[in-house]
Amino acid sequence: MKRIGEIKNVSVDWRWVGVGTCFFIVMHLLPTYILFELRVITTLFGAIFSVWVFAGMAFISFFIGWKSKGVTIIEAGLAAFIYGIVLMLAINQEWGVGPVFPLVIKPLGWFFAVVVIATVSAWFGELVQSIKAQGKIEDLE
Amino acid sequence: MNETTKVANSRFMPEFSNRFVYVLVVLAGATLLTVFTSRLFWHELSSKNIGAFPDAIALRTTVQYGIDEFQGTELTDLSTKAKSTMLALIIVNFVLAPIGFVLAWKSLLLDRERQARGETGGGRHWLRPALLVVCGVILGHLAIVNIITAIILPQGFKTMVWDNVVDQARNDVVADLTDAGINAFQYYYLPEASGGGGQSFRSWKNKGLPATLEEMGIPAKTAHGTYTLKEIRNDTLLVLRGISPVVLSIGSSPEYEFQVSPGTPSPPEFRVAKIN
Repeated sequence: MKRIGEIKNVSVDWRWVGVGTCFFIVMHLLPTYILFELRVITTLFGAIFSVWVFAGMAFISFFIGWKSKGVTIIEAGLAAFIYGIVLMLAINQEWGVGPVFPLVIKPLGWFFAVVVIATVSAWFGELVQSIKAQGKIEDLE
Repeated sequence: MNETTKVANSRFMPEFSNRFVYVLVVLAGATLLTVFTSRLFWHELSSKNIGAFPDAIALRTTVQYGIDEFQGTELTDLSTKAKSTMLALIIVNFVLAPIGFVLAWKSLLLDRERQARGETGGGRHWLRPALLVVCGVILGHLAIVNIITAIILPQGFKTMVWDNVVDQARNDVVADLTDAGINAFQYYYLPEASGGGGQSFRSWKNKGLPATLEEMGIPAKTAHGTYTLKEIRNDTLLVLRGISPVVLSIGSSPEYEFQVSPGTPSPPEFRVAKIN
C-alpha cells in the first residue's frame, strides 16, 4: 500500500486519517445532530450521552482498524483527535448546550480519552482482522 | 497487469471504490456545513444570518410581510445588502449547485468512457471531482436540512397552534374576570334598595353574610372557565378566581385571580394575578 509521510518505522496513511475523519462525521456527528434537532438527545445529556459519544467513537475506530488493509491504529487515533475537535466545537460553540461530558472535565482529558479509546478500538479491529486472515490461510492449507 | 489490479490501482483507496469515497466526503462536508450553520437558523434566525438558509429566511420574510399587511402594521423591511445576499445564495443553492453537480457528473462519465476507449483527456483533472464535491456538499446540506425541517415543522406548527389555544384561553379567563370584577364593583356602589351592597360586599338579602356571585351578577361558569369567590376582606377587597377548562401539558389549567378594591375614598383598583 502506498504510504505517505513515513518517519523511520512509523508511517501514517493520511488517506485513512481523512477518510476516518469522514467516517466519524457521517456515522457519528450526523446521527448526533439529527437526534439533537429532533429533541431526542436532550434526555441523554450526562453520563448516557458520554456513553453514546465514546461507544460511537470506539465502534467507528474498530471499523477503521478492521476494514483497512494495512495497520491503521495511529490513523484511527489521529482521525478521532480531529473529530474530537469538531465535536467539541459543535457541542460547545454551535449547539450552545455547554459542557456535557461529566466524565471529562478538562479538554486535555477529553482529547486523551478520545485518542486512547480510538487507538485501543482500532487495535481490536486489527486483531479481529488478523484472526480472520489467519483462519482463511489455515483453511487454504 | 490483470484487470483487477488495474481497477485497484485506479482507486484512491484500495478498500473502497472512488464513488464511495466521493459520497463519504460529500456527506461529511454536508454534515459539517449543516451542523456549523444550523445555529444561525434554529437559534438566531435574523436578517444578518441569512447565509445558512436563504430560502427559509425568504419564506419567513414573505410570511412576515403577509402578517404585517393583514394586521395593518408597518412593513418590516430588510436591508438591500441582506436582500441581495439572500438572492445570491438562492441562486447558488438552487441554480448553480445543481447545474454544477450535473455538469461535473456528466463530465466525469464522459471522461471514463474516453479512458475506456484509450483516449487521453484534457488537463485539470482535479477540477471536475472538486466541483462535484463542492456542489454535492451544498446539495447534501440542503437535503439534510430540509429532511429535518420536514420532520420538525409539523411538530412546530402543532406547538404553535397549541400555544395559541392556551393564549386564547388565558385571555378569555382574564376577560371574564374583568367583567366579573366590574359587576362586583357596581354591586359595591349600588344602594341596598336597588339590590346592591351599599358600599359593601355583603349580601343585601342575607344581612351579615358575604354576597354571592349570583347576587353580584357574576356567572359561576362560562364557556371560558369556572369562577369562584375566593375572599372578601373587610369590605375593602374582593378576590375572584377563574380557572380555564384547557389542561396544560404540566397537568394543571390556566388560573387567574382578580382583585377588586373599591378604595373609598382613594380611586378603585383592579389587579390580575397569574396563578398557573
